[in-house]
Amino acid sequence: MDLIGYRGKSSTESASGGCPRQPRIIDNATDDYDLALVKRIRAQEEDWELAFEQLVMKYQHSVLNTIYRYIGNYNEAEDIAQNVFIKVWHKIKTFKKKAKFSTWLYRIVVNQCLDYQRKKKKEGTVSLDDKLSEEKIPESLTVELDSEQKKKSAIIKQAINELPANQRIALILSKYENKSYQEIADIMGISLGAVAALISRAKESLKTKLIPLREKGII
Amino acid sequence: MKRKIKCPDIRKRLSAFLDGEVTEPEKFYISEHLKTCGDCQNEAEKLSQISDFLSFFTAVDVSPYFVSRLKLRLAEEKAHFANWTKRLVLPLEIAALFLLALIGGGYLGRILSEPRTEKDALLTEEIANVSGVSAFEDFSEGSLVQTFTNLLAEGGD
Repeated sequence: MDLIGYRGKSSTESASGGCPRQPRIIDNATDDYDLALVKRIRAQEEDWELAFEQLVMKYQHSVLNTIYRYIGNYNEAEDIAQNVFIKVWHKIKTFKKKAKFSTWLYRIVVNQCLDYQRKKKKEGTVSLDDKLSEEKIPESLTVELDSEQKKKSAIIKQAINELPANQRIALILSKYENKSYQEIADIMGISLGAVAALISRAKESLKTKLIPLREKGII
Repeated sequence: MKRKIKCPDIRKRLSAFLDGEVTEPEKFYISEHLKTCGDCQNEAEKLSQISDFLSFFTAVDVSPYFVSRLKLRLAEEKAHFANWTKRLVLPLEIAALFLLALIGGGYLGRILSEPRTEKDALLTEEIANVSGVSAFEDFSEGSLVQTFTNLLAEGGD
């Protein structure tokens, strides 16, 4: 999906009589695309609600799946994902353009996940087994898996859910969202070394749990 | 003297190495070490398998109603905010009016109860002299007609 936007004077255009404003195509995978949308939303331009919708459309899949992989429950993940975008709507004016929009967005995602976990802890811990048995994901929203794949998926899901919160977040952002260690450090507000250590420990922990299962032929 | 890199040092960086998150020199010395160390090679192989395992946890799709539900929630939020503002503004307005009345009343009371100064008394006397009001000070009690008749009678003398 491309966005047809308008550009202001670029550095190559003279201040007095540069080229007239002309439309340009902004690739929606770029930070420029995000910033153009954010600008329209912040300025409350005529089509700002459409700009917000475009932002949601771009990130909804990543946001939902990050949360889903963190908490392991589809319905609750969807609610939290909605909360994330409502937060974006309310707080967009506080977003500093120096940062990447996606970094800011994922920070909200991480905070919402941690808030959820704190709330759950207060209410009383729900085991992942309970969560898995409660969970009903509409079939149309999941990849068709045979029983063997479903079993493997459930095992991995449980192993990930047993990781400490910060290890889980770092691992999900790295492995499923393809974030670099630097981006993860920015999102989580920790050092690069700390990110490396978290991911390394998470993998060690998964290795201890999963390699024996592989050796037994379970996964 | 070149420091000999030990296996525990390599293991610590193995995860980052497999994720392509090490510096060029680190990349070089870890690669070199793996060529000659079977244990670390085995460890690297196990860690690589973790990435394969993780791919079993497949992504879910977003509900086609996600955006419309979000829009609905935002509309509710806006309405709630407007309602909340309305509910907050009315009591604030009443409180402000009450405060204004309190301050105004206090101020008026203070003016009225203030002892008259000498200057005020002189001014009053001067006004009375100029306007002839002092003539009315001796009015006897009674109706206005009686007072007027008395005055006419006195004038007649």
